[in-house]
Amino acid sequence: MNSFWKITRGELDKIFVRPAIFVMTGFFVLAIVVAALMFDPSPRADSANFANVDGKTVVEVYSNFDSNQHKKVYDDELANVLTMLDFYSQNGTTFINKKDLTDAISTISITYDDYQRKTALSNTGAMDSVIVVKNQLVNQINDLNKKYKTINNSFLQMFITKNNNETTLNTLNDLLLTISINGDEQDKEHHLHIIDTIDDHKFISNLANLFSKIEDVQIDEKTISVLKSDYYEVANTRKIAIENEINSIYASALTDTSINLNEKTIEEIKTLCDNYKLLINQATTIIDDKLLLEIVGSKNTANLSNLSYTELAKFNKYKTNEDLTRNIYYFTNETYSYQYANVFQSNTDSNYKTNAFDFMYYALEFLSFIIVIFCVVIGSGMISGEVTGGTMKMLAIRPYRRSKIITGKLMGTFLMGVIFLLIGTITTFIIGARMYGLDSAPILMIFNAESASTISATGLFFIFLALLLVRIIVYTILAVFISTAFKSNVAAVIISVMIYIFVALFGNLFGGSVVYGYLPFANVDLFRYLGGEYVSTNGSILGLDFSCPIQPDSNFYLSLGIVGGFVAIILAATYIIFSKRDIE
Amino acid sequence: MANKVLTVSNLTKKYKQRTAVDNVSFDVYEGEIFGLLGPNGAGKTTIIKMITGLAKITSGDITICGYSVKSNFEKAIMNVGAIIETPTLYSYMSGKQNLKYYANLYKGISKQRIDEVIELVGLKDRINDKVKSYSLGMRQRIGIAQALLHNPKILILDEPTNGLDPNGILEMRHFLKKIAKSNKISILVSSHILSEMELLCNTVAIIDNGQLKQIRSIGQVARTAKKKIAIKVNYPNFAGKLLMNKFGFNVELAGSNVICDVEESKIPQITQFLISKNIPIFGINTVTQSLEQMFLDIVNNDNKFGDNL
Repeated sequence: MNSFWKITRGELDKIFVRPAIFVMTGFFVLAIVVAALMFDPSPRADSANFANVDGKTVVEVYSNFDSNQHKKVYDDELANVLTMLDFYSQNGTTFINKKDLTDAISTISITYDDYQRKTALSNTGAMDSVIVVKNQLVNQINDLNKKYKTINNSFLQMFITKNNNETTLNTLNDLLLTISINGDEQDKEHHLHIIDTIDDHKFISNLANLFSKIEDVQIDEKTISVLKSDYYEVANTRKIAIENEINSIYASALTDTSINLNEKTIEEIKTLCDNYKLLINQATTIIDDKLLLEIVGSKNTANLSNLSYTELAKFNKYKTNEDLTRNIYYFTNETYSYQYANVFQSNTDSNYKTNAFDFMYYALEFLSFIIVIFCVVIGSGMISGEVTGGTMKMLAIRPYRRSKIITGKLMGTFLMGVIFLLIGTITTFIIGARMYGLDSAPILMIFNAESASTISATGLFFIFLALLLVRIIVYTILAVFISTAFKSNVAAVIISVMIYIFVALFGNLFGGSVVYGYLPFANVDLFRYLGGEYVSTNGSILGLDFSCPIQPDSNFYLSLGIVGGFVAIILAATYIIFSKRDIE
Repeated sequence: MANKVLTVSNLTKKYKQRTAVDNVSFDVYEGEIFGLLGPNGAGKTTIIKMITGLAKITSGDITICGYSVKSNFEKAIMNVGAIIETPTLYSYMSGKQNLKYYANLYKGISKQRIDEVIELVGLKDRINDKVKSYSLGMRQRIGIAQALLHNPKILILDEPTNGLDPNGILEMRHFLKKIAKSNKISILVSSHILSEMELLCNTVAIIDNGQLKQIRSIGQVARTAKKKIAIKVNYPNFAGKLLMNKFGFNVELAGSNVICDVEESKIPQITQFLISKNIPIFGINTVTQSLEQMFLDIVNNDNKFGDNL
């Protein structure tokens, strides 16, 4: 029987004849021109991470590098990491033991009760028993102090909740600091001080409360040793190799002035200095992130936001994983960030020179907004428009099941979007290629924060286009659904356009909120999952920012599922509603 | 025995509040012009919408050329060309573009066929103008054109003479009769204009309140139409009462005529009686009941003279 493609063909015939198409095309061309005129990318800015050693000759560069401003700083950084690793492995795998602390405080509480009872009963005769209890109390507090001191204070801070316990923590610190077990005379004063302070029984219960909120912190022994061997040791070895290279260039420059003044050699040694810093940076970041992920990563992100240690409250599992994957890739492959183009920062050069792709990403982000608006406007009139206008009763009496009419119209609207996208891509390509050239380094793509691979600029661009199509499909389906659900064409068009504009203009503002972050609208941009989380946008045309930050606990497949599920539901609803209804 | 092109069986349409079509059944044969006649709101348009798949059937079925509209819609509707209410085409496209659009929804409608149909409805000189510039009559014609493009077996028209002037109505009627004969196409028309139905259709189904009241072939109407006797008198009121009391048949007044619902053979008796009562007679006629009468008879149950006295 007749296929829905005939309906699609008819729809396209109608679309490209309607008066609106001239306005749309004109507007589209205008948008391309505006994009070309407004394109003013910031230069790529990651050189802040490089060593950037000054020097007009090789010898100058070398001596600047071999100083406290550069080499020493980097070496210290690497050394610190080793210290930290050693500290962790020395203190055993558990270095906050919640039970120890809470037990200690209960014991103190009991003793303190005892002390109070005895003091109440006391007259001169009972003084001795009071003193005994007092000494017990003091010893127990000393024990607590010892236990407490073994905890790395920053870790403790990480796991204390917000409710004013910082004051308690400070008081505890003060109290425990003033205790010493030396000397009898001092003891008396200190003892009085202690007892005065804890005379307020609430203080003990506050402490008990504080300790009960601490989470145990454990790091697997194996993790520490792996970090040491696979990252620290390797980094150390490699940095020495780089150092040797630098030294040999220096040595030859000392003897040969032409080498000393050779621009290429100067460039070479500067790059080696950058590599030195970058390498150490990679290693330390990997170790830090791995530790952080191990300690915190398994905990529910929601719980983390209650914690007072603000760095931790901002901990974003996805982002940290992506950073980690990226740095591991660099480290393992002995490459550095400057060898790759970074397309994930909009309105910024991906390379050290603007190329056509920079323009195309910039322009198409804007153009895709317009294309989706077109699809939404046309799509939202597909059913309600024809019913209101009376032409649906001329269409529905043709030999096509109702479902074929929907499919045909969906496909027609979508193909219109594709046509505009093609025009936009080809035009921006021509403009970009002419003005900037196609030269680009490969891109390091980090998929779903876990798999790293390099891809050519063209390859990634095709993926970008394909994901733009996803956005077009989703909003087209939504628009046609609204068109089917609403009798009034005006209502359908207005609602559909409003939804899209709201999401496009304001979506990013709500992106942080967990509630909004899991809505289908916030998950339509799948391109973020290719490595875009660690950078933010740098201003696009009209401030349109379509991307929401990735939810910490989210991933590509979850986003895909949310969007897919949403689309499936409204698609089914569209078919069912349209198949069952009477056409007026 | 001619083929049945359309069979409506026990067709019912229920809405939440009411039953719009109640157990309607009829057949349309090949080459027949079949009318659905009824007052506004009777359910004619609803029946037509169910036949064409625009409205969903609550119960019952409709078969077109053997295919059920419920279970085999696409094959069934292939044989149908229709205009529901006013034909609305895409106003921003020309007549030709509209026809091409609809033609492309079918298989194998050639350019010649499109031109043929344009010729047939007489729109050749305006076909390339945008539909929004068409008059109502032209829209009617382009509507017929799109309905005939694919050579359907049955043409379904819902109130086709709506808004047309008497000349347009005449043209439409002649046109429909012509194509019914030459193209051997059946036509299902709905209307509330009795006189037109009478002149156009071979068979008429009278619909009221969603129910099928009667089906009559027009020839049959003429043949079995009840003949009444019209007697012209000075005081029809008085005469009418007398006759009713004496003979017991139904009596109506029409100006100075007393219309007696009784056969010709009773004329001598009636005249003798009136003369015996000293009522002067100015004229005696037999009156054939028209479709209009029959329609009104059926639709208005109560037609008794008695209430008018």
